[in-house]
Amino acid sequence: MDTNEVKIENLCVGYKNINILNDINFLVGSGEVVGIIGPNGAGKSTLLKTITAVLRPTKGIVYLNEKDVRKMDRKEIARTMAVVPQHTLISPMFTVYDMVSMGRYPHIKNRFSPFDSARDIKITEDSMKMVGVEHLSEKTLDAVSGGERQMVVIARALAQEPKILILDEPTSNLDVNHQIKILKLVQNIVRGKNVSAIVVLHDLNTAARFCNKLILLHDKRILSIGTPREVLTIENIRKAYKVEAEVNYSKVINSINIIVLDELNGKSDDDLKNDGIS
Amino acid sequence: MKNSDKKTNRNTTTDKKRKYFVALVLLILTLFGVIIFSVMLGPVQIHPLTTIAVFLNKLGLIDANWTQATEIIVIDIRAPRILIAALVGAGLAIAGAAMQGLFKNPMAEPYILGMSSGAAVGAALVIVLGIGVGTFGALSIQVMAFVGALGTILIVYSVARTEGKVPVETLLLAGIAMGAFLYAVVSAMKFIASDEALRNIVLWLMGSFARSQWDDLYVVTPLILIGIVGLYAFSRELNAMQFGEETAMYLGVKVETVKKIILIFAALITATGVSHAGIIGFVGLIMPHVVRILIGADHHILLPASALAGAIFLILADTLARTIASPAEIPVGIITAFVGAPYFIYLMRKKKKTMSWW
Repeated sequence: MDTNEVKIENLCVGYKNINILNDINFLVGSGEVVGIIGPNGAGKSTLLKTITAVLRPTKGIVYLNEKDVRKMDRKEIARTMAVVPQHTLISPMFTVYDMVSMGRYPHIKNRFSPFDSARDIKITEDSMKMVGVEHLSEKTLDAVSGGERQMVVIARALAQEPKILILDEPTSNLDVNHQIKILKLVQNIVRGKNVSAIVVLHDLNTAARFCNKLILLHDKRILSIGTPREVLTIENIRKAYKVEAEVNYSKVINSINIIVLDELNGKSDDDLKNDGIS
Repeated sequence: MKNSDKKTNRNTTTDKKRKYFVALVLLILTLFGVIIFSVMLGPVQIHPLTTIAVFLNKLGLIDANWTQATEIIVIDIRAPRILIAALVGAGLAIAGAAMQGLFKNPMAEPYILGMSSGAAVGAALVIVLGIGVGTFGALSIQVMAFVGALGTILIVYSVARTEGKVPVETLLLAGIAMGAFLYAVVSAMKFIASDEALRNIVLWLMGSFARSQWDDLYVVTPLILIGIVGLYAFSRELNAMQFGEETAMYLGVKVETVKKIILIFAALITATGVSHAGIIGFVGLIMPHVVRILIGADHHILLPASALAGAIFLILADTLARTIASPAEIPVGIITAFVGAPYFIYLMRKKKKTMSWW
């Protein structure tokens, strides 16, 4: 871990009088894949929108590559951080190559030249190769499958040459084959290019298996932060998700594995307190 | 995949470059051809070589050896309207392409935000009520129409803006509402107009280059050229926005600023065109689609090619307008509608089969 690529300090986010996140603090270093998990409504999307500078926090600072994000213009942010959103519009008039080459936008200065420089072309090609979609280069975007399209978007993100990769639920709607492909790809990119990745995930086992560090959000705060083993304890899962779970370790995948047993029997927060769970 | 089958990306990009270059050259040559051809046509036929010679003479390159009458016909009567038709056609087409890109809607065109109705109100105020004649004299219609068009888009933009952002759907709705309202205002004015004023406003609304003069070029040319260059400068941003505003923003595009700039340039072009020539429809709607299908959707080629195609189309339409019922003139807006509407329906049916707009 060389530098802190992302530093979140005392973050509070909300609109008007409604608070969505309070006192969020964490660091993400290069070489790390950090997962943001939590139940629906815990504030995962809001946190992501704040990190990616879509939302402005009511308090606190987001630092990207050690620079205050408020002092960066949009192009500079795009050169530092690339976002793979949950959904991307498909345009049948553009090819895979066209989409990946869009990733060079934040690096291009000449407004009037229609041509990408040789360097831009090379980076576009290298990005497609690293992801494994160069054979789809000339296909139009409506002619590739959902899983392939997601990989094309990752290639585009790579073409931005970011220090930080942000992925918002990259594996929802994908079959298990593409799920594994994409998660392994993210790990390879992070290691190979010594960058960081922040991934919002809804599946706990995926999160446990592919992330170095997890941030569990619950009730507008960080409930727990640490390695998957430290964060995904039976108590934490109970508190955050209101379910009873079994946590095992699998030597085969060298990761913990969570089996959800049942929801907690409709107990209210007060009942849970009486049971000793606060 | 055999190595012989595999195209490297560099090759395909070069292929595209070549295709676009050829397309542009062909369009430019066609434009020149159409200009010469149109000068030739009319009650008095002027030989193409004479036309070229007259232009060269004006540029100070060769000596004149034709009659004064010939020169008057070429320079004073035909050239201005042909050149202005080219500019307005180019401007409307490129503005239409930019609006389609901005709204990501194939039905978008330059008048979609109510500018044509705003210009109509301005023109009607002059023709029916005589407002502004004292101050602007012969230019009153143009000035008032221009102000009407720009005033409309300003109001529409302000109405649509919430918390510093202008969602395109809101902009569209505000534009439609405003356009409808202003159209009602024009109708009211038609109702109270004298017979002569009524005829004049109706004719103005149908669009025409009959009144175009050489002096008009001094105003129309810079305004439209600024708009064309300005829009082209944002080709890359328009490309990025086709993937969604969210994605464009993550790529580094200052989406709200870019929207504003594109609207300003498109408005400048549209207001200039409509204030000078009345409401000429279908150029801004159809030409971009033709170019997209035949050449490509990358705005770096779509914008300039649409401009050239629009220029060619409108010159031909105007030439038809003034020759088909000679010596009478049919308003050019009628010609563009007659050609445009059936083509639009054809496009729709074709898209129904492929199930996508583009």
